[in-house]
Amino acid sequence: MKNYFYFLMVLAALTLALPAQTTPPPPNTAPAMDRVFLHVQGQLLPGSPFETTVDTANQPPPAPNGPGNRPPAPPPGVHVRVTSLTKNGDGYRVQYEINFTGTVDSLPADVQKDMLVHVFGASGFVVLKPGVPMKVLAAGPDVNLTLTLTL
Amino acid sequence: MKTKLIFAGWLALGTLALLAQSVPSTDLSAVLNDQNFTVRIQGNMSSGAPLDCSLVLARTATARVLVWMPAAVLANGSDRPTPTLASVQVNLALPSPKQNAEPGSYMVVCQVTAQMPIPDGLGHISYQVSGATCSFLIKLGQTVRLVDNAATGSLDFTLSPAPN
Repeated sequence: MKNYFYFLMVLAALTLALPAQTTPPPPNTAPAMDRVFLHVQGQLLPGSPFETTVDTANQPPPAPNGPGNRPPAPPPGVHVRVTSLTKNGDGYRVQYEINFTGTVDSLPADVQKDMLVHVFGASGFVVLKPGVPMKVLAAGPDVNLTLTLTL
Repeated sequence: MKTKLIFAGWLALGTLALLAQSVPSTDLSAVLNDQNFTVRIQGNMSSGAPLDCSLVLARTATARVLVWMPAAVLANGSDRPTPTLASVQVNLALPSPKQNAEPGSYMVVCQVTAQMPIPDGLGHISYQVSGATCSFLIKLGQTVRLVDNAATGSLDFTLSPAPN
């Protein structure tokens, strides 16, 4: 009887403890993100320089997937999104997405522009210090991208 | 005595079960979060398109950029380069213990693809996508050359610390 009591006691303790151990940590969702500004400057295509700043506290929600799980084509312009932000010493680990959409007049007329205009962009995971510009991409004379984070 | 032994046995079993649950999963790439690296990819793709691309990343970076296909590799005898799209994706991590890598080595997984423009001579261009995925070990300051099977393209990968 006594053995049975001890067995039940340990079993109850395990039953209570195990779910607590297996509960996943809360996801790093947007509301928990610090407010920073990410300034993006550069050129992904010849003759199409751009400059924009995204405020992590006022980012548009990610575009919902359309039919076949493909995101709908974004409106023309530069679209920047900070998808995750984690404090790292005096800086931040930043995960970003940049998409460039628009017509490119600098390309030759015989190029099928429609095939090209929706696909240029860059994304990545980089460590940034406030106020220090970081050139994250350079490809030939036409492509460059500089990120600057400010608090 | 017997009762205490049974209790101790169950307690030990429970402790082991809890320890097994609380061991964190090994994420080798996590240690690369705090530092930026530069990966430079330089050379010619299999299609003949030259590529010279530098990416700064702590763990991963992707770029979809314009490259110019030399006229010499275009089949229709075009006399000028044709713009096309190249996509470069680089992931950086520490090698797993199973790889038995030399100290100071990093693991690069890279995917390079390009659209091969096919002009029809009537003002229209269609595209054919080609590319390759590769993974290799590299040290800081080292350059690794990758040559495709047909030896028509070769890309040099150089890993270096990113400028502050």
